[in-house]
This record gives sequence, C-alpha cells and structure tokens, in this order.
Amino acid sequence: MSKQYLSKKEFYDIKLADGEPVSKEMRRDCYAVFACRHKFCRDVCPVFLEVRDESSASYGIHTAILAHAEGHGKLSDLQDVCTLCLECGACELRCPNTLYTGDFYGQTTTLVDLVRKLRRDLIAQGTPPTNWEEVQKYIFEDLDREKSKNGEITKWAEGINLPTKSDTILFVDYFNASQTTDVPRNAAKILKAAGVKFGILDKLFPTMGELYESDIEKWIDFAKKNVEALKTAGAKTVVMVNPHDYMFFVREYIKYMELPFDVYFITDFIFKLLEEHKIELKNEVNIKATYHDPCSLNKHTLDWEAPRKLIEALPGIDFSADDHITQWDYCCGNGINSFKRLKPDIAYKIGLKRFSMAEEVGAEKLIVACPHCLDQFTEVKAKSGNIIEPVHILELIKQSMGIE
Amino acid sequence: MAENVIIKNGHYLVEDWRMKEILTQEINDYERERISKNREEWLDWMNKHFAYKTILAPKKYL
Repeated sequence: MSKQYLSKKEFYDIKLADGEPVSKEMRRDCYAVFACRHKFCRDVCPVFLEVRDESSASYGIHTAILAHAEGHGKLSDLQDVCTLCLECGACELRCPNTLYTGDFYGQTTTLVDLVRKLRRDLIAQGTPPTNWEEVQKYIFEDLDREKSKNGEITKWAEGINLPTKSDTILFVDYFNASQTTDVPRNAAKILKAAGVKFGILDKLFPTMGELYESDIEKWIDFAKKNVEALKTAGAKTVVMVNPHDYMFFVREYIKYMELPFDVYFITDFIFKLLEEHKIELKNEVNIKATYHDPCSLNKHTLDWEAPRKLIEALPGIDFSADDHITQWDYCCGNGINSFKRLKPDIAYKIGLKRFSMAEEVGAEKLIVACPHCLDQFTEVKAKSGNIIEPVHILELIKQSMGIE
Repeated sequence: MAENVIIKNGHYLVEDWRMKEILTQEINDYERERISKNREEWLDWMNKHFAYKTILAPKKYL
C-alpha cells in the first residue's frame, strides 16, 4: 500500500471570526505553542530567514490566534500575517512537539492546516488575506479549465496515444497539462519506453491548493470526482507527476474519503522500474548539478531518496547536493499554495537564496522534481540573470535513456 | 515507575487518562512512523553536523 499521512485536529472545523468566541481546544492548542520557548519553528522557516519577522513563524501565528481568543486583537488583524506562510511544513518537522513527543502524546503542531483554516475563515467573514484578489484570479482560470470540453486537458499527450482506461493511470493535473507540458510528456515517454501499460484521464477536476484554502467544500467535491474518475478508469495504481497533487492525495484526500488504489510519485515509480532493470540509463549526462528537494516531497511526504538515487544513477553526472535535513529550511519560494501570488517579492528573494546555495556546491544546473519549482526557478533566473539553469529530473532521465 | 508502560507498534504511548485536558489528535500509524523516522534522521543529522569531535575534560580531571 502506498503512503497515507494524516494529521487532523477536529476543532479546526469550528470557524473563527471577529467577535466570536474561540473554542477551548483551539485556545489550548495555541497556548501550547505560545508557551514554548524553543522557537525552533522560527529557525527553520524560509520566510522568517528572509524577512526576520517573528509573526510569520508558527510561534507568531499561534500566538496571534491566542491573542484573538483572549480579546487582545481581532481575527481580521491577521490579514497580512497569514500571507507569510509557504505551507512548506518545515516548522512542523522541526518543532519539538512533533519531532520529539508527537508520537508519544498524540499531539503535534500543525501550522499548515492552521494557516489554511485561517485563510478560509478570513475569506468567509469578508476580510480576505492581503492581495488575495491575485489568487482569486488564478482560481477562476483553473475553474474555467474545468468547464472546457473533454480533450482540452489531454492536449499535452498529442501523438503519444494513451488509452483512457487502465490498471495504471498517470495523473496529470491542470498545471502540468497547461503550463509545464514537457513534464508529463517526458513522464509518459519514459513509462512507455519501460513497457508500462498505462492510461490517462480524459476528464479530471481541479486539485489546486488555492481552492482548498478558500472554498474547501468545492475542493472536496472535486477531490471526490477525481477519485471516482480514477475508479471508473479502472485504476489500481495512480502515478502522480505533480508532487503537490501527490501530497494532496496521501495527506488530504484521505481525510475525506478512502482511496481504492495505490498512489506513487513518478520518481518512486521510475526508480522501481530501474531496480527491476526495465529502464536503462545509458547515455552520459555530463553536467555539474545539484538537487533541490520540493517541500511537498521532502517535508510533507518524506520522499527524498528516489530522486537522489535516480540522479546518482545517471552516467557521467557530477552530482553534489545538500542532504534532505539541511534542505528543511530551503524552498524555491513558490510555496505549496498561494504564497507566490500573495508575496511575490519575498518569493523572489527566497528563490534567489536557493540559487546561491546551489552556487556554493559549485553546480551549473539545479535539478528539480516539481513543476512549480521549475516554474519559479525559471522566473527567478530570468529576473536575476543567474547563470544556474533549472532542469526537471525527467528531462535528464529521458536524455540518458536516449528517448527523443 | 509509577505508571504502566504502554507500547503500541513498537512505540511508547502516554496513558489515556493523562490526556483529558489536552486532547490527543487523530494520528494514524503512517503518521506515527513519519514522526519517529524524522526524529531518528534528525538526531543522526545533528550528530553528523555538530558532534564531529568529542571535547575532553581538562587534563587535571582525567
């Protein structure tokens, strides 16, 4: 069975609002973080490391909600503060509650869920996070795609000939299908070359996290439709090309429904094929490269081994990367959901900092496994003129396999 | 030890009666594994990065 991560606090379902009392459980939960003097959550937060504003860290956000509970402030005072979170999950990993005692006490720090809830509650009471209109535009674009005719969303696969029913389905989300089409095309070509029989969905529904943190009912409805579509397509194994979707399936979808299939991220699936000798990496890839762990893989689903092993297996590569724990405080700047649209300037600075880390290990190319990281780094490179080239891992695997 | 030791799936757990004020979360086995795996990796990382040498006591104490 594939991974299934769950971290759920039932009292997060009770809405927060200006002038409304805060539940006893929520107050206690926020107090536990407020009373902590470790503040390790701060030291690992990529936003805090950039802006040095404590209100953005897990400690700050929990404390602000406690202040609202105690009547020292209003929920709407958090319109700006709530935008300062990438939802990367680093603070949850580094917090002593989660790291040292979470499994013992059954009590962990769940800032990512809290920030999503906070943004939802602020929107619901008509005081959305600062700059939210930029995110809303993007949400409308995705919802328009949902209404487009069947076939629009599979345009990326033209010429590859893939069925729409199979035991194994390659799940290609709207972002990949419309903006980074090389990523799913390369994935499909690699799987085909390895002799995997697989299909794709001709109709799927939005998965974007921006909707999850604004209209949860609609997002869950789409999630159920996606699972139903996969079931109808006969899926027993679902391979994801977007690590954000992989994270949503194994961490969020399971909060609301059962998944009748196994879910794998593409690099895990390809690494399995490599181990079974169904793939041969024969051509040399003569580059000096490092690897950037996507937050959705490294921090949310602890999936950092397969990409590294695949890169190391590429003949001719000069590879050196910071270990995955060191990368807990790295991020491309995009964030999991809305951050880049809410705080574009900080997103750019975080991306630039990641480039400087890559320079430190002497890399010429920065390998990524996430289309959002690729998009963000491409933008940062264009804006800054940095010499480091971002490249997707599937592109290198395809080259090494000798696929056109 | 004043109370019972509860071990479930190889992990120590706090006794239920102690968690009436601070409620426990719903944490499944995968999540529990995630936390303990992180802990081990983090401690290894700490040892590799910050415990690369043993600092000896001054000679007069040896």
